[in-house]
Amino acid sequence: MAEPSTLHAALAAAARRGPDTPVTFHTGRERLGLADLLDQSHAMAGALAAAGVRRGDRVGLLCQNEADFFRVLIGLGVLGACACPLPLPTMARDGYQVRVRGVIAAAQIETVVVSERLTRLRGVLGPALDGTTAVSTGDLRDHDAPPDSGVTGEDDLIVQFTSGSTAVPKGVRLSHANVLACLTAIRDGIELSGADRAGNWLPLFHDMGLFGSLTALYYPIPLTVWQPSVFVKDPAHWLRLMSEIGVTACPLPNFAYDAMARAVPADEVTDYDLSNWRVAFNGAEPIAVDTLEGFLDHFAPAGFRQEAMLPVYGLAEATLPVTFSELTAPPRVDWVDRPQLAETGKAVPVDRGSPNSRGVVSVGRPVTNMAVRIADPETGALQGERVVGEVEIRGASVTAGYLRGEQPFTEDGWLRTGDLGYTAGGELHITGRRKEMIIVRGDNYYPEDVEAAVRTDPGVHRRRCVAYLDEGAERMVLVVESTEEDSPALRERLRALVATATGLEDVRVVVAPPQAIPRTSSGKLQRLASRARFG
Amino acid sequence: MSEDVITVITTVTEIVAGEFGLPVAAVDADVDLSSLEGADSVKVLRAVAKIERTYDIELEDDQVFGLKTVRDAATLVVATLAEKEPSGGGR
Repeated sequence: MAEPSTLHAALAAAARRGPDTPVTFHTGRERLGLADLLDQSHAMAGALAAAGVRRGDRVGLLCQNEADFFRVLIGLGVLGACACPLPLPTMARDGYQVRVRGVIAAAQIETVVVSERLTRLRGVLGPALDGTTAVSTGDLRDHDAPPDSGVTGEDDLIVQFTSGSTAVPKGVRLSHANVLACLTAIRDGIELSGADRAGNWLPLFHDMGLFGSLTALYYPIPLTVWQPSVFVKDPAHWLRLMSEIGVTACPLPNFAYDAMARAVPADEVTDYDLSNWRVAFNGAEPIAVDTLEGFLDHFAPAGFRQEAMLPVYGLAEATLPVTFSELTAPPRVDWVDRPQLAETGKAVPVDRGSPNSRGVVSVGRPVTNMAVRIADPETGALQGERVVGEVEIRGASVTAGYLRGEQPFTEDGWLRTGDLGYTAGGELHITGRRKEMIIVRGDNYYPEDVEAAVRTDPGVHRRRCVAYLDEGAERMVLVVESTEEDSPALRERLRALVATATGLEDVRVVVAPPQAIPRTSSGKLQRLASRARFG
Repeated sequence: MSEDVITVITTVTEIVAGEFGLPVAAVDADVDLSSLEGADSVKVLRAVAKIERTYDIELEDDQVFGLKTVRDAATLVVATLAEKEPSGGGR
């Protein structure tokens, strides 16, 4: 039989191998077998077709970490329609409605499928869904499955909105073929076997949460999904839950490893048994050496093995995985000279104890059907080992492009990731970002959104402001021109506006007199020149 | 009833101030939580967890989505307590 070319065909094959493979959701305490989940997804496809959804339509998907997320996603795939997962807020925040509206406009979404558990979200959404038809998952059950619509691997399955600012979100188009290539690469990259069990609390609207979970269904192995709040509220409790049910593979970002080490006191570590944990993905955020080593030291008495920690690199434009570090080896840290790295872009090895050393965690080698190269971001010239450049990728899981706007490809068809890094011993090391974006606790923040938050404040002279990343790409700086005196009160007010609109708290605010911000000839405020002037 | 809300506001204010590392005086009942110094979603959820433990209640995520201020949180706590123990009986 031919290899399945669509997600639903691949999952049907998985369900024939393991129809009763349990899929468990903490929300609503749902537990069902894979074959039942697929049947219900086909029923939902029939109901969505009856509701007017057609092949090629882009449909909003607003669900928590619950079975309905998969039913809607798979159901849309059956019809050849495309799911646009919408984010959920953590709390009421003005920026949330703007973000949802931005995605709906960018993807020209006419229908949004909303979980029946989220009726109370309406108050937070406000008018964000105006102009669309909102359908509750509660009204999409027990329908006959639709006839085969001839969907191919080339049909778009998902548009992932993790790139771009709130104001101009970039929708990453992912076909069935892209997604299957991603799932295969993860499966092979961690040598998944029938003895594994997967767990995930990352949001399913986030690529690492979604494709990590789908890999479990694709094999299939048992999967347990929690709400993000279960982890964030009490990381120690979650760690106990996941170890008790014997989870062997689980994706987490850097901050989560920090949170677990802080949540479990040293004298309680031996109460945990982490010896079954085989693959602890560490990705989606820059990986800090102290966090990594702190976790390994702290949880060694619980039986956590160093080689279980798996630093990885991925991005939405690659569906998810780009490189994985070596599966059976402890994480590797490359110690290089910090000033030379910053000034010359050369990764010169030094002793760890050297006063100028910087540790860069290796994220390993390309996954199956993925190629990586390092190029000079200005000239495109390929760089040799230990020379920093932009990471460029090409492979089966790489997107065909964004829905609209500037496309991220080089002339010879490689995708420019916007991340900076170098190779050493054939392994990729990420050193920073070329994109004007920072990641804090898994969320992306863009200068455009920071500027938009304050532009119309009366303290800002003629809407003149500019936001950019500081030299180390670790903190956002906001410079405003103002006719007011610089004062802590003014800076604090602007900072609070940014925090309310974007959720980004740690912003350095600089108040400058009118005409202080450098411009280009077109009058556009210039980020790089501002960084040179204001630091 | 309104006295209840005021007592709960005092407790919730202390919890939020504690989780955010701010003096209690800096946390007004009606200030937008996301504008507080040091605010992020992780701190908000930790404060929610502490509120849950303090009152022995469970708040659903989609209820927490709607919280903007300490007063919102206190109102939700009072409503959840009222649902749980309509006659004020034991547990």
